[in-house]
Amino acid sequence: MNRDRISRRDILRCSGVGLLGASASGWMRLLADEAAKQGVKKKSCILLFMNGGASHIDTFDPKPGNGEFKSIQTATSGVQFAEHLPTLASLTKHMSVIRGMSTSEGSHARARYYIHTGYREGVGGVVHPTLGSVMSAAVGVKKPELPNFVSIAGGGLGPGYLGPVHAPLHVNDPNKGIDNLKPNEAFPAFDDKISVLQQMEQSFIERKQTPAAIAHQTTYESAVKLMHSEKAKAFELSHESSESAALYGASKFGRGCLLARRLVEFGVPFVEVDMGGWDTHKDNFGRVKSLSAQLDQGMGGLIKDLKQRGMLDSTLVVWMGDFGRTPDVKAGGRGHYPRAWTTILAGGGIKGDSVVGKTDDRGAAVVDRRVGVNDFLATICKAMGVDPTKEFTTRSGRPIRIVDKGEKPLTEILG
Amino acid sequence: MAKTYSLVGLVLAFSVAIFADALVAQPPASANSKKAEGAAKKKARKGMAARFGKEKDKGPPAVVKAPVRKPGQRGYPAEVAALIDEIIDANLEEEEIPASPGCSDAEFIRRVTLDVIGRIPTAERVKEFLADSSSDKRDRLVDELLASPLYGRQFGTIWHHLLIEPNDDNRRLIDAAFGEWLATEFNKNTGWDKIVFEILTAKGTKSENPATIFFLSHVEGAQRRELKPAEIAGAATQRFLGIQFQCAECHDHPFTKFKQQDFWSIAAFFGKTEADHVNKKDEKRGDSEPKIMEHVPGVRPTIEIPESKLKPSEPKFPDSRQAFSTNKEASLRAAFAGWLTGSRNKDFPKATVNRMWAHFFGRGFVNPVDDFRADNPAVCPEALDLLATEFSKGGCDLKHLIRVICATSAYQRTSDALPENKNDEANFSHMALKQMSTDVLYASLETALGETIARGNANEYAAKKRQASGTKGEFLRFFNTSFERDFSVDYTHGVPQVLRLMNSDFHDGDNTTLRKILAAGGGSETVIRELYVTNLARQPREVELAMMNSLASRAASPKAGYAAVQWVLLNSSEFALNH
Repeated sequence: MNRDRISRRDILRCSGVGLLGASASGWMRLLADEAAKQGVKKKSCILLFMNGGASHIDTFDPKPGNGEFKSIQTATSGVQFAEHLPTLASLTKHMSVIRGMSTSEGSHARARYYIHTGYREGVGGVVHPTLGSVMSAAVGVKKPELPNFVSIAGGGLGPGYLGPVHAPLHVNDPNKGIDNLKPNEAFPAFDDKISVLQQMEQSFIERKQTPAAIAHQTTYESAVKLMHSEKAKAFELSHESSESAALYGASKFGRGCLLARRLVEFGVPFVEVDMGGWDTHKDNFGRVKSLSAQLDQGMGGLIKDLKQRGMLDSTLVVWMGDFGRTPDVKAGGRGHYPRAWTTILAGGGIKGDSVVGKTDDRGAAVVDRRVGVNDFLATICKAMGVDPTKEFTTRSGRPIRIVDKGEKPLTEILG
Repeated sequence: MAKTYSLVGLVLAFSVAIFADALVAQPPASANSKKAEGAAKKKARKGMAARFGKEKDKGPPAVVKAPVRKPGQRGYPAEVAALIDEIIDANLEEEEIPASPGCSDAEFIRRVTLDVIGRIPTAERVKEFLADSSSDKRDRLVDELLASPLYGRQFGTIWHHLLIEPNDDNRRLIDAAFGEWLATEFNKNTGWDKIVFEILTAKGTKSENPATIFFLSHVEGAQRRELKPAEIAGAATQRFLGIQFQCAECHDHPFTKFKQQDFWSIAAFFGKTEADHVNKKDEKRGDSEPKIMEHVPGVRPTIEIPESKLKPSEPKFPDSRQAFSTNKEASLRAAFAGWLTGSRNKDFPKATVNRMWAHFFGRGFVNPVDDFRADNPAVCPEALDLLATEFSKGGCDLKHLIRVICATSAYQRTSDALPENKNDEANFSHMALKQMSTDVLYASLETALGETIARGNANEYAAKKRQASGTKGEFLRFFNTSFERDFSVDYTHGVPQVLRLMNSDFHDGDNTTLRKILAAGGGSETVIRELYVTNLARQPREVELAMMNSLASRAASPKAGYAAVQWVLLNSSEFALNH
């Protein structure tokens, strides 16, 4: 018994070998290194995803006479938004409104996959990484204390061929933070179990020598590191002042935006916030009105807050959805419409006061500067300081570009 | 040469068609590749006796005695397995990769139970199996597992996930009905050709006929009545034929002979199928179910190709020059299903056996498993052909196919890597480590803890979702990753999943398994041994016994100590992976 204790300590002492690195001192040193690395930070990105596909006509590309909403003048001359987005209308000097979006996937799952990965789902027999995973691989730190990619209130897309290291950490409810972060018992007892687990893993890996077992261990290592991390309070909104909280509103989306800002402040390079409810086949105007109120406060609060804190230039805010919605209104609703729609890029060095592309007077077709998925994602990459033509390698050794060939980044809005 | 027939030479040198005749000892043709010739010669020097001798150790000699049968008759599992091993071993020799030795009984029972019924074996069954000294116990175990209703459920679940895209439009269809229907068919051992035929021609509503769910999952529009023929054609050819036709939806396929027009010619077979509501009154009330029905084809059942200058496509099989004749009042879907599952379509059995092989090995002969094309060659193509022929000969009998696969020495190798084969992922030199699918993980945790884990975490969001579809649904969504639709030999869980595995309240140390083991009495060693058998289907090594003993004794109470041991075992990669 006594001897066991000593041998266990011995193992802990030489935990440079052990991947779980259960010794506290080892962890601390590692944390310090990472903190230093995270200090020399590149740009961050907050992606606001309008799940279901937001109507472009009833938000950022209003068409007089089409629909029930009036238009309002924005802070940029000649540019109008729909009436329920007054805060965002006042912030256009930080935004580029891309009204020339035109994609070709009209079903939710495929459209989401396409706009997030730049590739059609199912093509080429691989699962492509979502944008957050791409950025995790391209600008994230190795073995980070906090994850490189956090997804708030969303689900779905993952790291594809990039593997679990670049998977998002999901936060279901921004008010609750991460589930299961605390052990069931006190830390010394938990760490004791971890050190025994580490020994089991070593012996298994030696026998099997396979990436699956190593990946299992790496994931456990990251999880344990996060459990011990001081920085885990990045996930706790209770530390935010009531003024900041008020800026974003109490909606789930608003709280998500607040958490995103907090995480970026702590060094997380990519955060995606999902806002559901945009699939307005019924009661389009009633629903878009109430969704706009939450969007206006959440996204408006985010841009203002980032500006106030001097973070806007280094934080790219992306607003996008599955697709736009039909110019025609049927039974009070609008259908899926990938042919012409709108996205927004703000901050992150993007040239504000700008509009890219133009749709016809019904919002049905792009008549000037068509922007495809490749062009859009390549622009995001450039703004993030990532080369969109860079190739990743799949596990089978196949090189795949971050953004597929034929991309034309929107150089006119890149700083 | 005529009557001396060497199985090795035959198998290596012959095409599938000839192989069927090989069993009645037709004279072999000349070898068609130098590689095959070389390997065959090398192998032949070792002699047949050695090979059959090896077989004798494994099972009753009768199994290898009578390879001469009429064409069309299928083989005994062990006999066909031996032929496949010949090919795999010859390939390994050619590649100069040594094979790992055979696996232990403990390794075998855990692996085969996970693969066939989708959960770890119970401690009782493990102990019984390890104590059994009969020579055919592995074969009997496979038979026993195939006879369990859980076999149907395992493969029903797998095919449910493969055939019904878990997207937003289909959230109402992600219920158990389709999987249950499949499970029943698998348990009855209905031929795979018949099951696929039924899926592709199903009529009626979801509750009348759950097989319609495949079509219902490809319905679009607010009124949910427009079918998407292109999606159906893409899914059917990919899942059932292993051909990624959908590239040709928008352009000519870059790597195959298929043109855009060919793709839409297949889609045209589904152009007359509709999902309509049974009666308009119900539809208005919003509580009717859409019904899959098919119209008479008419004179020109063509289909428009979107965003293309090509002329509309007529229904046509990709291997045929002429459009399918629609003069008679034929069902287009039945014609297509008949072509897809028909005995002349060699792609159908090949794709099926490749996918099944990958289920058991973590990797197919062709990878990705449903991407057959000229520039993606198979490993051991002769083995793939042989297995495909065997499969279609026997009426697409899935249980027979599984018996054959499980009887191969390749399947029964240890997953311990040798220094010389640790980098081999493609040639079946040692068993790959496979990640448990989410369903399998769930069932295995429940088996290990002896009770449901559905009481779950104290998370309101999850609780809300629970009301809609139960805690199991929430667990499955939480652990599900996009990887799972492929056969993954990677570990794909991320930090959140691992946090739940470590810190969920199902680890509060209060579970049926632990209570039972503690109630049975016995010292610390007995308890630890019991926990090893329950979780890992094996006995602990001496050093592990000491390590766990020590961990248990450091805890605040004996109960907490054993709970800590159980926790370590459940969180180990040895538990999380199928090896």
